[in-house]
Amino acid sequence: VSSIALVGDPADLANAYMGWLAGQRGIGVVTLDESRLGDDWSYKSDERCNGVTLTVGERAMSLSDITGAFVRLNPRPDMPPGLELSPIEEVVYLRERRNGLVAFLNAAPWILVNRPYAGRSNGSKPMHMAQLARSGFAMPKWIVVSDRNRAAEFIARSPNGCIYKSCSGLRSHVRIADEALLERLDRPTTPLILQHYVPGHDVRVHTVGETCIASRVDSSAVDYRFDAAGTAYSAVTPPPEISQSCILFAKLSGLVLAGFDFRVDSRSRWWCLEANPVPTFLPYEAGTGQPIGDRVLDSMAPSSARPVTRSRLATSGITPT
Amino acid sequence: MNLGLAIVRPPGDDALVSLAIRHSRESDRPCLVLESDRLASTRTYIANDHVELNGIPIDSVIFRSHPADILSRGFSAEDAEYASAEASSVWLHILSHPGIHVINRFDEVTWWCTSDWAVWRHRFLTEGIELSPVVIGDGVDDENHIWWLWTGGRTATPPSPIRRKMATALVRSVNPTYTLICAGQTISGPQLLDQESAMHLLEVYGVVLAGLYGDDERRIIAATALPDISMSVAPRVFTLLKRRWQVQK
Repeated sequence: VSSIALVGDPADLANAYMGWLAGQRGIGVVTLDESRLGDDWSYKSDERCNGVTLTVGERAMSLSDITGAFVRLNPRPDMPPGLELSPIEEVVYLRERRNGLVAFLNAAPWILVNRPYAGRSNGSKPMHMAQLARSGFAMPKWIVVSDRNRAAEFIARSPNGCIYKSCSGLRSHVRIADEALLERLDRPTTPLILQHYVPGHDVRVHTVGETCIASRVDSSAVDYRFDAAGTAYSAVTPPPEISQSCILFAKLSGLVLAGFDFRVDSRSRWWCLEANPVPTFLPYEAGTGQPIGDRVLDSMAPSSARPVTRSRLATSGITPT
Repeated sequence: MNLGLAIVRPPGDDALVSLAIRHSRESDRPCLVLESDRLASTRTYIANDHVELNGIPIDSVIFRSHPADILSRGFSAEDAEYASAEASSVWLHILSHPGIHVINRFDEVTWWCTSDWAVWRHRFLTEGIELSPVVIGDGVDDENHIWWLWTGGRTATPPSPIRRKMATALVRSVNPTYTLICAGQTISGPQLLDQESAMHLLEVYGVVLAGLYGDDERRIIAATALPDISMSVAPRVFTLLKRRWQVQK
């Protein structure tokens, strides 16, 4: 019987779903809750996991008891119960613990979804978009700017206007560039990304190893993630060259699971926006019935792989929020 | 067109930065000195290979600040964290840009990780470079070990419950050594085992200036791409870096 580990934040929706799905399929689940490290579970090892001891509850486990791990680390993890430190000490404590956990995951001989160091360029959108362009993806033209005149010139030359978005990986709204933005750039402010707007529809492509699952998203909103009213999801088949490019990029980035965002224009040209290393796949799975979670489970527990064609989430009537 | 050099100065004194500023004043090349804690308010324009800061097109950067430093002085308390994250993202792009000469280049892993030595150790291990062993968690109870904090700094081995809860890294070396390397040469400190391989790997990632910590048996414990540089060795470091840039150009 295969077992997988759920690492990090057990309250994370995707983490909870993977645990539930594994249970439905008879796959064992070991929870390695970051905030309970040293209380509910602990480990000792060198960095190659030689002579490693993993203790979960009272039980000493061999690393080979587990084949894969689903990792969702909370950006603001909890402190262990009963430990009271000053705010500065807490910051140090949490950073130390996180780095220790990452060192363990780097050494663990498991299929990790995903390895902590993989896909980190997504935290810098300009760097990330440059990488995607070098990998052959068609990208809508973009600049990084905090200068009003440069921004106005760029907008004036764009055929369908521009959107603007943050440069960092912090979750933020994508908005249409307008006069209010230019007025904002009159004052000293941080740089932002201005990008040509592509009229059309969105597609999210999830890659799980060599598998590609694409979901079309129709929405009248500029950023459907924040304005979900009237959003419709449907399964779609991407052009083979897009599938191949996504699979290759994910592989080279060390990502077992990745979520690529595209805009598809009226001439059926696929414009890549970004590749997410920690994709929230539940809305797409629930909306289309595509069994993305099952494919992720298959990758972590290959001996328990099953030819599932319909998502249990979609048939359960549960709506992820 | 004579493109400019941007020097990012960290808070406090930095011998290398002081030399670079003095040298740049003697050349006809445009030079922009930026305080690291105000990077968020630098006027920025980046389009393809063109990088312009405060109206000056640049092709070279000396960056001596820590990636996790606050870059948003002058912003309101409410906006400071966001502004710092935005500036940090832009600067990672600049420092990893293939068209920009950088001391030191950063990649996305060392930039976002709060423990660059752990990243370098992981890379060294993957390359098979001989390292001083590190025990993670509650593995040893030995007064010959010291606690090498993931976030930097060293202190006495903590008690067992702390080791379990914090997954501490313990190193068997009470008096670690420090070796400064630059452009393939040892500037100060002892020669360490497998140092050539480590320097080569650092250079593959664009790091020509680094510090290496060694244990009692001359094995590498850790590396950092933001090494301390004393005033006494700064001129030699600067000369080597200048020569390296001239070769690259």
